[in-house]
Amino acid sequence: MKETPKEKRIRARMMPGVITLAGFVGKDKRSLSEIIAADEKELETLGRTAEEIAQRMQAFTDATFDVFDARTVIEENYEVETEVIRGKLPCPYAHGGLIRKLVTTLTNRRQNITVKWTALNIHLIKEHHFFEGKGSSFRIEPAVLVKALFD
Amino acid sequence: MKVKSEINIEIPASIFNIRRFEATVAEIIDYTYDIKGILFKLADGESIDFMAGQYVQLETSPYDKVKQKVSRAYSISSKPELQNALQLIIRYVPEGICTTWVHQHLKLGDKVFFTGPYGDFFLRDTEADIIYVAGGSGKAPIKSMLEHLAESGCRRKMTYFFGARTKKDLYLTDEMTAFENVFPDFKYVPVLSAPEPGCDWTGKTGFVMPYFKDAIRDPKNTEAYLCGSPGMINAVTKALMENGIPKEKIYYDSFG
Repeated sequence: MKETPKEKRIRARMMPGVITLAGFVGKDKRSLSEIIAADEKELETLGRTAEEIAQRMQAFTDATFDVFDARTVIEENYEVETEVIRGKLPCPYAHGGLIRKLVTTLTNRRQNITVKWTALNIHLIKEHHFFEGKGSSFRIEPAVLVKALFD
Repeated sequence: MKVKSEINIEIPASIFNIRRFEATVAEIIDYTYDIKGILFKLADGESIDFMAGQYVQLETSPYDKVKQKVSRAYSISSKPELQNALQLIIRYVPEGICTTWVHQHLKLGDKVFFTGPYGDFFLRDTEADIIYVAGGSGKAPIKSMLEHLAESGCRRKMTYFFGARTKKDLYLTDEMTAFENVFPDFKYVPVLSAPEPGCDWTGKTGFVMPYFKDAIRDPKNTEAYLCGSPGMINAVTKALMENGIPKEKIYYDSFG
């Protein structure tokens, strides 16, 4: 699918070295709208919305944001830790505002799955339904994320 | 926005001290596996006037796929008296544009630019006792404060708690301990929260908070200077207040 000029501008900001070192699209050759449409279709199959996934991620991050140097066990199943890094980053969709730099690591003990996300991941999923392109460092497959967060 | 009546805008005098500086990399020290100390020598005739605890914004140069420069904030770790140079302590952050540049591309003799000084985290000029608490690269502003106080002949009672996970996360231990011979009443207390099994660590373990009580003699006359993650700042602030230190005397530079 051909990208619109607006999508091209957003994609340019998602390239490696612009906002983050590795960028947001990895080796994915699909247009942004194709990436998003494919993930939205998968979410439908999984019976979850991007908003509720982002809300759940945000809740885990909020619960561990100001915990000092320790993993927190939540709901007796999730080991969660958030590392805060100095500074903030803009969203590649360029709608103003800056987002904290942090990485949350969650291990679902029951499922034996560990996933990592940034504050920017939460924002991109919530506001843009964008889980990042295939091969991107912080791409999380929707199916894996749903299993990690809800099972 | 339209201004329809007279307004007064108060601009702190420190704003006028902010400038852009050119400097050359004069020294790179590997403090730990992921922390480097970089000394930048200012261009001839240049000098920087800052207060211990303040920070600068370091500008990257283009490298690999990074075509544009970015600026990132780092606390100054050297003393203000060293006017023609300054040191930054920078921890490597995977995928970080600036820290990757510093750790993997910056070399001796490279020309760099930074702006500053910024920030309101600085030593208050009182006679109060001091508790310092830092973790990781949060050691930078505290090092600057101690080096500055060593120059001015401080006689305040001071205790410096440095929290790290393992022994390999400790650095500048000898240099910080050496301040015990510089100041009449200073103690450096490194504390490991997760020492590796079998390691030869004989120092304090766990979190830093339980050790505050023994270091505080007059809480109402004690100031605290903290630098680290929001989690550390929150936990430490709570513990200091429980020990009687007034909230308004707890100063911090939070990474968040």
